[in-house]
Amino acid sequence: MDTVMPLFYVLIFPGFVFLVGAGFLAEFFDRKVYARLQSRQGPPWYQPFADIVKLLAKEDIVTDGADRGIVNIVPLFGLTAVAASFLYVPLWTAQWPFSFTGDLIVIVYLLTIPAFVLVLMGWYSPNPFGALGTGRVITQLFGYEVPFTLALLTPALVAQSWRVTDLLAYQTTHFWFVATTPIAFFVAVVALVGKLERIPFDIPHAETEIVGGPMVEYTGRKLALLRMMFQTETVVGAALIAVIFLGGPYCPWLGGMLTGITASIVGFFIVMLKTLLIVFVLSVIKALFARLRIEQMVHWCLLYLAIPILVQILIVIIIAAT
Amino acid sequence: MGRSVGVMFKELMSHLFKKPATVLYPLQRLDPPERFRGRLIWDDTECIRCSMCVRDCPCDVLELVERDDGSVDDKGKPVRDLVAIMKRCIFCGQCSWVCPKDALRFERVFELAQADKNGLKMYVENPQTYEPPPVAEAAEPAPEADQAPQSEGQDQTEQ
Repeated sequence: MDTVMPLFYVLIFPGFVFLVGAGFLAEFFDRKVYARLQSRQGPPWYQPFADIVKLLAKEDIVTDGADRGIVNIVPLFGLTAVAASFLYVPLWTAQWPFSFTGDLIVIVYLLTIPAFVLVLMGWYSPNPFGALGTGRVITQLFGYEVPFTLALLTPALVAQSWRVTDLLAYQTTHFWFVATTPIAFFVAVVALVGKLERIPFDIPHAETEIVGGPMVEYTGRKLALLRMMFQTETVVGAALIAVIFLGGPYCPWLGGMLTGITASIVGFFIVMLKTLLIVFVLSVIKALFARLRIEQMVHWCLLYLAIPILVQILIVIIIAAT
Repeated sequence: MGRSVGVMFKELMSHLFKKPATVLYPLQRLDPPERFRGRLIWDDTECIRCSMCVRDCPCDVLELVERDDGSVDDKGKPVRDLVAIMKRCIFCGQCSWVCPKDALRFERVFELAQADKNGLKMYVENPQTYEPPPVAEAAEPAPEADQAPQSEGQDQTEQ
């Protein structure tokens, strides 16, 4: 039993299978909201799944001149990193079995890997669009990564812990971090847009401009894995922000009313709802803006993300000192 | 920038609760416009074979071809049928407009995609009385012409 349960956790729930399913749901929700904001019908609920099945059935092509080993391994590596990071996001309780001191750092680290996956993909591709996309991925990484990390650091500074479950426990006795550190919440959401390479920060793959950038030579199974990587990264990023800033499974008017397994189930659905709320915000941002140029993006991120988050950290430190 | 984003946000949110402008296409269909030019229909009983449409077509879609069985009309002239290579058609409507007997017309049917180019054909008004000759054989001498020089080239290299 002791060996079966961890495997179940890692592979089925809340591990890989659940994460992929949640990724499909998040993509459907995103595309549907995006379509309705543009007055379109949008896809049916099974469309993300059907897209993946279609890609899995397609011929697997590796272009001449590409490094076959890297091309084969790297998409799987990215998906694995994202799936691993999801295990440390507490979904229904502060007594999360995978939690340990410093797991916040591990999540941030694992969520950086998809960017490096794109870098490697573009770098080992013989296509000039791939190399161009790689340059943009790295440049963009400097724009969003530091504000994203600092934004997640701010609640950790307030709660005096690097452990996500401690941040969660802190929010049960205090206000949610979205109320106490609103600038950090704003910065985290915007930096997440950059991390997920969504409009207006879809500069590295910009389909209309550099036809997919690092992904230009990818098709079939590998493209399916890459798409799943982005879908699951959306879920992990949104769930992480929901847990850190929006109180995770806790709801103020349900506090103390539910206990045991009921509390866990309700808490899980609350986390999922909050995750979808973040995805909704991401969809609205996607519909609201057009793509920026790469230098505009870096300029904007340094001006409107890096400086405000430093101000936020300063405020937190001053308040903590007084 | 802030003001334009605000205007856009208001516009987007208003769409969120409105009925979408599009429909769920295969399940739900909109009627094409009144004078929509879709599937081409030829009424062979009305047609007087004046070949106005053949001459007017900007894309060489139409051609009058004698029947394979060599059948002749009551004046002793070979019977000719109108054959269309619909993959060239741009649906400009010139043939229909120029026809003195209104024997060519466009239906409001727009789902014309075919997996095989032989399926891209003009439809005939009275299919019971008339079977048009296959399009590919009747109107495509081009592939043979292309192959001929290649085979000569191969012969030369072998020599």
